[in-house]
Amino acid sequence: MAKKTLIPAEKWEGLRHAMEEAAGTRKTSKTPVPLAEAAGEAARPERGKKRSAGEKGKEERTGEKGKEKKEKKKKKDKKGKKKKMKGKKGKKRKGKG
Amino acid sequence: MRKITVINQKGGTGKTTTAVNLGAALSETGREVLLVDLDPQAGLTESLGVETSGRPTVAEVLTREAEPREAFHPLSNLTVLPSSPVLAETEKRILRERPSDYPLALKDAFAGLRGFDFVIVDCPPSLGALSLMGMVYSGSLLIPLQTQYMALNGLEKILGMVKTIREAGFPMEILGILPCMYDVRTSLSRQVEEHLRETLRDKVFRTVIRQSVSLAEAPARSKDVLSYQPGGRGAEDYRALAKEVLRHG
Repeated sequence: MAKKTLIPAEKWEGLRHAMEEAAGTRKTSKTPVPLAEAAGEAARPERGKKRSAGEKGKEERTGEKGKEKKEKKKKKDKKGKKKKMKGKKGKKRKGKG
Repeated sequence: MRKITVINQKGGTGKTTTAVNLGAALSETGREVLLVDLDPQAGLTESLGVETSGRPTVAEVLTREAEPREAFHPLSNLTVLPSSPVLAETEKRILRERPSDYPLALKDAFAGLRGFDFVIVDCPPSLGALSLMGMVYSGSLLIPLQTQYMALNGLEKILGMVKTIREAGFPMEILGILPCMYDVRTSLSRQVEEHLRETLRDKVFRTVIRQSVSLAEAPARSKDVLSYQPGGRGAEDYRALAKEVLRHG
């Protein structure tokens, strides 16, 4: 019977890569930075990580961020109109009474 | 003097157990061993029954308010530099006072330290300032790793930190990854160990620390496992680890 694999192969590949970098057998092009600064960045949780300039540029080029902004604006405008309508109705009632 | 930092940002992986019992096993071979508790939870200090009230601890040593020797607590087979919860406040203070070179705090405090064959530093379960001080001081890491899936995520993070420190110009080696809490009955334990060896090869210790009741019971008696149950499985595993460490030089 074939042995059931409990941990995916990608996990081990990631570990191998991380170990090669840690041991210095895989070269990285990063320029040295002061330890206190670099360590703070490395210890930061993934969620709070700042995006690189490259990532920001990509968004601008593909226009993803622009599209999102336009859609939000459209939704906001629609809501505004509805509120105005309600306001008019209210005034009419006031006038009748 | 050989310096070893026991580190893993995950809690409950066997860091303190490894620091205490590797120290005891090395001492059994005639080596002079200093154990440094760098964890504000003071697990190592408590597990060996060291009383700290009214005496300086590692916190005062780091801020240079006390000389290391003033804070040492000699036991029958080991010397302990104890910790206390005050260390959490001290960590913040050091970060405020030495924002650019705080990682060097322990290295500076121990600059003139002599008289030991081994200094073993037990780190807190985080990759914060205290752990960084421990890593930079020794430049040699022993990583206890539970033979479970979630433990592998933590390992990647430590390796990333090692890379960062090396790139900042500090020498840093991984002495070894130590499979801990190994349960011979589960296929997960066996698979993790097998793949670890396949993937990281000579970076994994040949010794495996098996799950053992004596390892859990010894701290309750304020003893290391070699004094508590000299013929037990835990003592046997840590003696094997000490031999490997000595072979490493």
